[in-house]
Amino acid sequence: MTSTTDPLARDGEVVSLADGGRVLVRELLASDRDELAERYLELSPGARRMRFFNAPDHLSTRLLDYLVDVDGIDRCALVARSLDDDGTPGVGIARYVRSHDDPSCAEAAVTVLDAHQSRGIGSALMSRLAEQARRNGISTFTASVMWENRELLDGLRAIGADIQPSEPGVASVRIALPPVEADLHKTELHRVLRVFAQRVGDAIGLRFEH
Amino acid sequence: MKNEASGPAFGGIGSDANLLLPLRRLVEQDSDRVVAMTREGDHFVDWTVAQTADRIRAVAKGLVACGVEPGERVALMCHTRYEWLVVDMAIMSAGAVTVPVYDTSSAEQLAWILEDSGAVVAIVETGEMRSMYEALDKERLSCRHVFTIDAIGDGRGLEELAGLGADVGDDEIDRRAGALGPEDIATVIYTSGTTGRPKGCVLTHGNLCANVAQTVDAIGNEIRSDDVGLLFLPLAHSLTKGNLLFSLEMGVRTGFATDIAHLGEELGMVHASVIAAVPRVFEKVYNSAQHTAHSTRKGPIFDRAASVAVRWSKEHHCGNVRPWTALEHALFERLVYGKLRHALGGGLRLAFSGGSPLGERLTHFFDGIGVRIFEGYGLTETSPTLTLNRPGSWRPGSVGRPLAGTTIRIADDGEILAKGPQVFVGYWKNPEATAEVIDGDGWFHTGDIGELDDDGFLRITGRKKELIVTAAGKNVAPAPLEDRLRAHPLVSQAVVVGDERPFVAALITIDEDAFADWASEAGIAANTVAEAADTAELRAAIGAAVDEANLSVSRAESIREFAILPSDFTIDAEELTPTLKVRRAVVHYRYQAAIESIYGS
Repeated sequence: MTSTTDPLARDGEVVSLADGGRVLVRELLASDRDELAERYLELSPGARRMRFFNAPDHLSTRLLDYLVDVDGIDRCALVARSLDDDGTPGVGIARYVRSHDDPSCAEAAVTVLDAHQSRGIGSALMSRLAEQARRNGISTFTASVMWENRELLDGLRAIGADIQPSEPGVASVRIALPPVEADLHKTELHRVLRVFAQRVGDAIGLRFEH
Repeated sequence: MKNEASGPAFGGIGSDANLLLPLRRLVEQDSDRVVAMTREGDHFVDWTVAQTADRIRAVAKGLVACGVEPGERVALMCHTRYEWLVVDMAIMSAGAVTVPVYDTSSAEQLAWILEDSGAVVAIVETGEMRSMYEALDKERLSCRHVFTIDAIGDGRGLEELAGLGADVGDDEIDRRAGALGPEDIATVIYTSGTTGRPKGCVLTHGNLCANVAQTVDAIGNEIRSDDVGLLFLPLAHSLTKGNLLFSLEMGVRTGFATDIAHLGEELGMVHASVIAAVPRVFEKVYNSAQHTAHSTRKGPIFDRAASVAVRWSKEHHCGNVRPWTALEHALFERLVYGKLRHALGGGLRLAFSGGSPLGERLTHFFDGIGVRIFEGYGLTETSPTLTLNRPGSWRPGSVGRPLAGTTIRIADDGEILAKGPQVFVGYWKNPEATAEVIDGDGWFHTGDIGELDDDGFLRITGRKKELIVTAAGKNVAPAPLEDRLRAHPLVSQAVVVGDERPFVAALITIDEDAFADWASEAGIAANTVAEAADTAELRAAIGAAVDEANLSVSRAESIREFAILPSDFTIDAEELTPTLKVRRAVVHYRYQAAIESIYGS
């Protein structure tokens, strides 16, 4: 039951970034599969570690099957595609997966190619993903974040996330999503994420985007 | 629960304090006193204060003759032995800085430590280490000389080093040693981070002298003039180094064990009364006693004796031993406990444990058999002790209360923060890494997660760093090892295990896509990874990946065993989160049987 009022479902939304670049944010399509596999190989080891912790060298057939198996409701993924002619269309991806145990919760994660980090792509993806999640009855995002990802954790703390120790090296994060009625782009969450993304440098941005 | 606790007021250290003063004081007051013991065949021989001071001075002169200047670094790669003490003190007597290197370090690690520290002289223990040194690419090193403690007949032994200094006057050593103060760097100890290369912890004479004084404040009253210590863990580890410095300060005679394998025997030979160890040592004593009992059909008696010891200790701790417990305890004292104490040398009274958590039950067990273990907590960065259980302030399961002059705070996210004179000044030439652990208000961020109870006892509950701490107290970063393993085409996932275990091992999953090609090329009939997991061919292929990964680390950190798992991690089995993050805890749980078979229990 894809919501017909959801613009992302059809054509996506063009987002202008602070640095003047533009990206198209739309749902992940089955046809993005090969590009996803290729872009993964372009991620730096540090970026992979922050996203997957114990990251494989490449995405196996099985992992790719899983990653492209989305329905926009329980498993949702949004991609950011560069509209600037730099030869790299797919630059970022964010997803949530609804929890079996608690359908009002979903685990969220985001990845942006190293060279495109700190441009605000991660927060553009996450704010739209949160919106989509809200429309689908999800009120809480959870995430596992490495403690080394200090700037991201500081940012999450600033917007009221609950951060608890998990297994060694890992923090368990919960954040309540703002109500769907509010214009998410103008919320504190979005403002903080944006300011934050722009303030931090490349190395830090790498941590932030995940 | 509290979020901050402080130890008592700290008396401070002298404005001229340095690590050479305790020995110098002994030279002046009691130069015939035995300060060290080393094994010669079937007995231990004594080394007096005067003999030791002479050897230190001779080596220090040699270093001066080699051109070592105050503040320069000298590397010392050596296992725990008397010469470690001599060379360490000699380096400091020359005004220089000791850079310890584990005797088990790999060539890559040795090269990095020499390069990063800028060591100008290296002193290695064995011919093998000497060969390792000779094979290094010297281009990036500042090392001008290398000497070998176990002389290999090339004229570059410790005696020859001392010989070089024959023309250096006593006044030069006195001048250099006398100039050392609390602000001067005593040692740079390398520790592994979660990623990247080891970082050098810079500890000053002031840091280490303060920690000795704080430890004396906490437990000095327990030490008797006839106490004997035995050192057997690596002196490159800050726990052992702290133990040695404390013993020198208190004038405790210290035996140097030849090897941990001879620990039981040598504890008896020197009649050791005080030791510091990692939990592994205590576990081993318990496990081997239990094993022996069970293999001689005395298992039920031992098990009963053990549970009575634990119960007695708990009741005794609460000040109320029930009559029946007291009776049973007295019975087993004759049947079992005395024999256990005998296995520990017969004279052991006090033990200190640190480096990784000691089980509460084990603490009570040893207390019940008459050996008090005081568990403490600290890091290399904190010289090392921050908190310590002590007589009258002993709570098994906790790591004790803060030492004098030390404040422990629990941050909002649960991290243990510390302040005190023992907290280091920073990492060697690495201000970024230093800024990550010492915040603007001067708090050192330990990376561990814990709680303070209402009485100020600290409990360690978790870890922010992705680190494994083996039962031997060795910190091992799994990520770099796992990265190297995954570089092998057949390896999909690798999870390094070994937390609170005797050694490091790896659980490895096979890349299903690559497996099919490999199997047909290798002529293996198996269709699935599960079928091939135990074949010699697949194990050999993965063994090669393990060997390659091990090149980057010391033997103590290396992967000794591995298990090939029958299938890759999945979300269904919850080894991966829904967004494909590996959950180590679930992997450990699901493959418990494989892990137990690796560790043979």
